[in-house]
Amino acid sequence: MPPKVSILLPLRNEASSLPAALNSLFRQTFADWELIAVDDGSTDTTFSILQQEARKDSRLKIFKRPATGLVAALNFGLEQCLAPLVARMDGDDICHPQRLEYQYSTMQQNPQLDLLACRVRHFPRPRLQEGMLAYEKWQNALLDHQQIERDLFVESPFAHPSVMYRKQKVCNLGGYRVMDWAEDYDLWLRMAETGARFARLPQTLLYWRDRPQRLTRTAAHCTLDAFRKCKAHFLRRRWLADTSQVWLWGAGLEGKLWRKVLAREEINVCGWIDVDPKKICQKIHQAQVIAPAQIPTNPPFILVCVGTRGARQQIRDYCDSHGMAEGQDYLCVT
Amino acid sequence: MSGRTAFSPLNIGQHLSILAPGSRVPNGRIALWLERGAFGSGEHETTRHCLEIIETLDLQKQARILDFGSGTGILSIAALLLGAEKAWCVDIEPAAVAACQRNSQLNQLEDQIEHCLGSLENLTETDFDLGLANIYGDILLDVAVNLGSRIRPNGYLLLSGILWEYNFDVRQRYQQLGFKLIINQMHNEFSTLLLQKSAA
Repeated sequence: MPPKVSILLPLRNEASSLPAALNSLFRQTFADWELIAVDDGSTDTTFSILQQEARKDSRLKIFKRPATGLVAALNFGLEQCLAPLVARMDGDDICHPQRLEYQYSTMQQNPQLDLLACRVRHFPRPRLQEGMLAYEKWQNALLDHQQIERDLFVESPFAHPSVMYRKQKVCNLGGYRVMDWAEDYDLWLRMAETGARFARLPQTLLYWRDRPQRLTRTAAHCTLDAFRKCKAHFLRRRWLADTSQVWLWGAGLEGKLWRKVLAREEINVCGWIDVDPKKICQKIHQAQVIAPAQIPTNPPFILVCVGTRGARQQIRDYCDSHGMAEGQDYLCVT
Repeated sequence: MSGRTAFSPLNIGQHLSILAPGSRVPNGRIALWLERGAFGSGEHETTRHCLEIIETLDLQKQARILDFGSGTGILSIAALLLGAEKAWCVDIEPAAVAACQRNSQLNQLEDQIEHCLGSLENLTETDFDLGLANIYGDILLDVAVNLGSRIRPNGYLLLSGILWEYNFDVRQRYQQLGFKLIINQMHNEFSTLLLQKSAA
């Protein structure tokens, strides 16, 4: 009998934090799992720790591979997973003891769900940057499919090690891809394109370790520019498939950076919306800046790229009260 | 009695009763008088679990206690009421030190408690029989060497307020410093560790 859940754990040089991560798996109240641990060319004692633990617990399936990168390790690991449900995990994070129990039972009870995340909490917190705290808070607030889909282009809505997904769904999409942007966000957006259903459990079941060498801080494919490129790519395929013109709400630096990535997708910014009186009536790259009150009837699709805290909700409220529908007339992308 | 100081008696473990001044002492229990404060008055799970463990320790008459992040002083006061001789209460918050002073008076233990406003660096004493620290896991990691070095060989360290995610790291750190794990309690959100320092 295959296990009910496969835990997919790609690793490279995680010797210092791996024992804590494994310990949190051994403490799971749900026991019918296998761990697919893929060592992607570690040069420290990561693999010997795995070997040692695998001798004690036959649920651990360990693989040593040359360093070929995260995506290759993930796809290799995914192939090894025997269970229909895959829980992602990283070697430096810690699971709550009931993580698998809650995620498994919810996936079982909701066959329409393709991916189920949980709330996460960063640690250690004392030196955690404000941006990370804001990201955690934003992500944790998105619980149902509607909320997640609405904010899908704001940021990546899931911490990769917090999700459980149906293996078949991800395999049908060809697994993970090497792109100029983060492989997880790429996957969520491809899943969304095919109508996947998302949700998040309200419990905090993953503790997400923050450290200076974390990939989200250091990797080129995790920069803000990489994320903009990713969003523009997917917007082009779906939301902006039938148009070559958009308006941008927000004529600040972020808006100007968006104009550049949209140009690469052959989408022209033909108008700007801003509340700054100094910008209104100006022209930016030959396109007029107008105040929200001057938005004409049936404007081109609007991308909201205002990153100021609280502004997104204000814009949503404004659009809502002026008969504009999110997803149909506009989309928040920052 | 004013609303600020009133709270229901709280029985913890086999012996202790946390009581507001003027309350009736339940039969057969040891009264621990406490003004209501924001620094741990027994209702929080981490404080309660610490008190339950302190009760089980065989505190000798001459036992010396270090209470790091002492708050109201509830843990030290309990240890003294259960037989310890003297406690050093250290807290970085002036309001916590003041609360601890008032509670030591309420329990007539002012001669047995030394108050220290600051951190471990402000304390010169060592060779404690029992160290108490009901504070966050990241602080326990930061102060591990200093805190661990102040416990005498075979002495105990009771660490609490450790969020789940820190449990393994804290355990591992103190074990590396020569402590043996005696109890590891995992509760809803927090965990509590009782460790014993190896013999010299």
